[in-house]
Amino acid sequence: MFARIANQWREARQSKSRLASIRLFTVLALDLIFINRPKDVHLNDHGIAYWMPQLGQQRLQLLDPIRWLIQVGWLAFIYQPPESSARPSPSQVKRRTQWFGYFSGSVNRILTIAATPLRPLVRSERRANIGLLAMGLAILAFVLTLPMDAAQQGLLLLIFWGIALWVRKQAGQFPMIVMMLLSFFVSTRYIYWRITETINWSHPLDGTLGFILLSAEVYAWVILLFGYMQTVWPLKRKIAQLPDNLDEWPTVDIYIPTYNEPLAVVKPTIMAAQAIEWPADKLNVYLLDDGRRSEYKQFCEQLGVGYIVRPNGVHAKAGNLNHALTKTSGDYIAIFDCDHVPTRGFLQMTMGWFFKDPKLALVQTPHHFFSPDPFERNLSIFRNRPNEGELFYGLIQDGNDMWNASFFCGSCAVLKRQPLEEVGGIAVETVTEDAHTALKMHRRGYQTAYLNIPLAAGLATESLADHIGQRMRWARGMAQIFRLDNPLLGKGLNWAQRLCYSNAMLYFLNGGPRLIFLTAPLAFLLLGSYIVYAPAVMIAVYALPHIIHANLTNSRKQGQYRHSFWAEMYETVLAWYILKPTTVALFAPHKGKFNVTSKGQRVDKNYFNWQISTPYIVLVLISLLGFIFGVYKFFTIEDDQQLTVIINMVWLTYNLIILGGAVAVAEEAKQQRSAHRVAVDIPIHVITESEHSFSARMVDFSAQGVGITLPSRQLLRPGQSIYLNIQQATSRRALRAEVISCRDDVAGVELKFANAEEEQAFVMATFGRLDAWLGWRPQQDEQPLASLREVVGYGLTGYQRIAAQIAPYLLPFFKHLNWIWQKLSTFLPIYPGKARKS
Amino acid sequence: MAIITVQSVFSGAGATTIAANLSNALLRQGTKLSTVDACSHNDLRLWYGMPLAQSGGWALGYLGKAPDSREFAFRSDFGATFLPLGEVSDKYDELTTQIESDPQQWLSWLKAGNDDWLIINLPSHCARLYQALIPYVDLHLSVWQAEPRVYPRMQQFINKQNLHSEVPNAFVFQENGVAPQLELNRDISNIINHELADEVLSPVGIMRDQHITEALATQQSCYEYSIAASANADFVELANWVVKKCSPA
Repeated sequence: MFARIANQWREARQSKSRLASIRLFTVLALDLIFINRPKDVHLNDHGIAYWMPQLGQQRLQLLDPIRWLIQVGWLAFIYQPPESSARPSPSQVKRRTQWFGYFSGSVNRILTIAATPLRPLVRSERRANIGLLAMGLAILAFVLTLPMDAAQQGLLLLIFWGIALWVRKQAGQFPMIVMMLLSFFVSTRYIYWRITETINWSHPLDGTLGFILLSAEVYAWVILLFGYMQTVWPLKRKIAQLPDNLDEWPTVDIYIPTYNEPLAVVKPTIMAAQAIEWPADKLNVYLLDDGRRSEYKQFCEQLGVGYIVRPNGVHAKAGNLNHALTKTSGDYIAIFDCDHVPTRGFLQMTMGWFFKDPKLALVQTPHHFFSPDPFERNLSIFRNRPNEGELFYGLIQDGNDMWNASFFCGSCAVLKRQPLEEVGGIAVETVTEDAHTALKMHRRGYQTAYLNIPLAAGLATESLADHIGQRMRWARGMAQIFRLDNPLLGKGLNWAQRLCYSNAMLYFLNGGPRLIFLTAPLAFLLLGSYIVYAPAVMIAVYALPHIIHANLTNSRKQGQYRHSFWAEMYETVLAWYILKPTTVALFAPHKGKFNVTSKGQRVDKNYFNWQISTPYIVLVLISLLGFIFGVYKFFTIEDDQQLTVIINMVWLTYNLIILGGAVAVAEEAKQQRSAHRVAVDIPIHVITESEHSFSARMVDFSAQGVGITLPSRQLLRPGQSIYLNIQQATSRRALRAEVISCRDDVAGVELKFANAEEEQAFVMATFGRLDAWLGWRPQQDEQPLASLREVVGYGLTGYQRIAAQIAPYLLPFFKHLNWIWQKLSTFLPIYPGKARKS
Repeated sequence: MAIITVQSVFSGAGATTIAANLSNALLRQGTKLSTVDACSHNDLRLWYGMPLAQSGGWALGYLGKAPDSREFAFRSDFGATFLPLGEVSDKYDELTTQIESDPQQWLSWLKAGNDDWLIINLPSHCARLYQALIPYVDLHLSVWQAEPRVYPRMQQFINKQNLHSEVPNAFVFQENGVAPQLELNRDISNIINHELADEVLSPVGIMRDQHITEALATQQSCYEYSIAASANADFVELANWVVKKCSPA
């Protein structure tokens, strides 16, 4: 064997330096000894460079050995290989050692027994085993309230943590439920401990501040539990088939409500709606124009689309839709916001469910956006990270659907006329008329469905100010519904529906609690108040597991739809702004009016939105003050209090990072095109005036233009007029166009539509394609560490951006801070198979 | 091993063009094949750069009972094997009759004992050859272009061959000269595509492309003439479909 190693050494030395050879041999040995590979992956499949991406670097750096050690330690003790999609072959299963099978079997049994009390809830079986449930709850209550000292509590939670880490990567819904249960248990124990033991009422300031923090925590706990319940078993509904006989297909009215949007935004929607594949005599498209504009009327007449205006403007969008309901007579109503361009299969994909379930009143599909939202644009993460809406449309609505509680989102949905009329049309009492309408239909015993396939796409909000305005409206509306038509009260709903609706509404009350969390560490650092009246060690053994379990569970549950730590940033940006409307709506639900979200605008140059970031900059300044006080305190305070200072400082630092991220978003990146380009890859033909035809690929499109790549250079020149020969549904169309720009083999082309019919053909070949939005979402696995690194990076970017605005001489300081972070983050372990971003 | 026949629905619809360029696309994909010209115009050779003065071909050889068809095969400068018809003057009728009497014998003579594919270009005016060969071929491409003649010709053909009642498995209509930028072409194309059943339509249309004409004028294959021409992409796509269609399931 030694001879063989010697031989290999010689081989390695032929191509590598001595140092590099030693490195290679060391990592090979480490690889063999330490790394727990997935069972079906062999060393040959993934070289060492897969496990230790650090080794891919060209040059050795001084501290590299430390990086390797950290990576090896992380791989050996923390990292868990992802569940492989390939199932182990029977022979491999046999090879598993006996004890492991026994061990995992018994653990499984224990977990099964532990989770049994919840099973009747999960399956919602009528024959719930009440005895077992009661027993489970009794044991749970006993364990939750069992007093323990720090060491016992610590040990218990270590065991829990171990189980959570172990089941985390097991595929399937059952391990998920185990993780939720563990998290539920740990968090509830924490809250119980907080309520019973940590409020010092004998000191008025401590007591008051402590109570405020505690109520925020109780709120967060409720949201956490409701959230678990809501998404415990996402339904993931499939498409249902329509009857073969076309005569049975019902009549459908398509409503496109508009108020002040430019015609260029509305045009594609109308054209695509008209071309939705449905028997022509059973499909009617109506533009509901609340702006009463004559050019819209003209356009509709030209296209043969119904044009409806109403005498008054009461109740905004809801009123507009309700007026149209009295003017048309279709059995079903599909509603598209005026910028949501449907694909041609929209009705064929959605309508099937109405035949399966006669009590079905609504089929909702996701709102999909082909332009970047302010977060995506200002942080340059468009189509790289799951966006803000994805959690709701990817997971929460699917979770709601399980409980028959998925609700109407105002657009991209089909409603049945009869139930809609039964509840008095679209609800007008609140500014989120959509959710309220669905709630009313649920109260009448109707069913709703959610189909998680993007079948229409629209424009995201254009600026952070618009985004915040839109969310303020949602927040106010949800708070209004909670006040006026509380889902926890009243008739007709089952407990799961009450819970799902409550969660959707309570979620928008997060403004206050979020601000409390952002300022809580200051209570101790600035005011010297002990708001959590407990020794630092106890706080650590209770609070840390609560946070870790909640994060682990959410990371597994939501990871695909929202990466860890991003939620904090999204919510922090909105916190201040939704606080007021929700509070007002809770006390005076009838105040306030409907504001329209603007679409299709331009941001001419980069600018920093001071108005929006002011509250956060104030928070940052106070936090910085607290930070300075903290440093001072650390050196002056008695030794036994130092841990308290450290805990608060860590919390404050985290807050500062999140605030930095929130500020970073306020710098509006410029956006010059009013028509967004959608990246695609579609084969087309380009025909020149000399009748030469070239095969090309369409790489992006907008409502007016197309980007193409040609097979070689210099085939076209600017100013040349050409035809684009595209496939549209089953036939081909050639559209006249002019070459605007040419660089290498890429050309920008502007379309010159001769008539509306040509424009429609183009819309159908682009926005209206059946598969237009499939595969659009980034399919990225969640990696909490990578997410943390990113969020810290954006936090620092935020400070850099403020510095650039107010104190350019501070810029070098933040640049250095960023540099230090970049260097520090190179010590973090890297997920196998990922290259470090430079 | 597959036998593919190509025939225009009416004169000038493009059977020769498709036979030659489809063969070249298949050849570039690694299919071993020979392309055979059975059309009395003897034009296929132009696609392979054969000088007009050279008048040799397989027809007289076959009539003269030559033992091996390979004697009449030519190889183009890019490696394609093709069998021009050659000068037959007034013997074309005799040739047709002889093939009609025993088509299998003719096919096996053409194969000459190897396993190569055969792409045979048939004359548009000759229904007899079509009828004789259709039972023995794996694919028959009936080439049409969207122009006013196509509708009556197609109807005649369908009635005469009684395609209303039964369509041979190998039979497919192949569209050539697709030009959606021309209104009339687009409309006729839409009508025909709408009226014919999907099973008898080839899913790949060959775009109308000036590159094709220019390639012929310079006696090159379209691929040699211009690599950027969309016709190349079309023929590759057609070749892929043909391979799929002719491969045993």
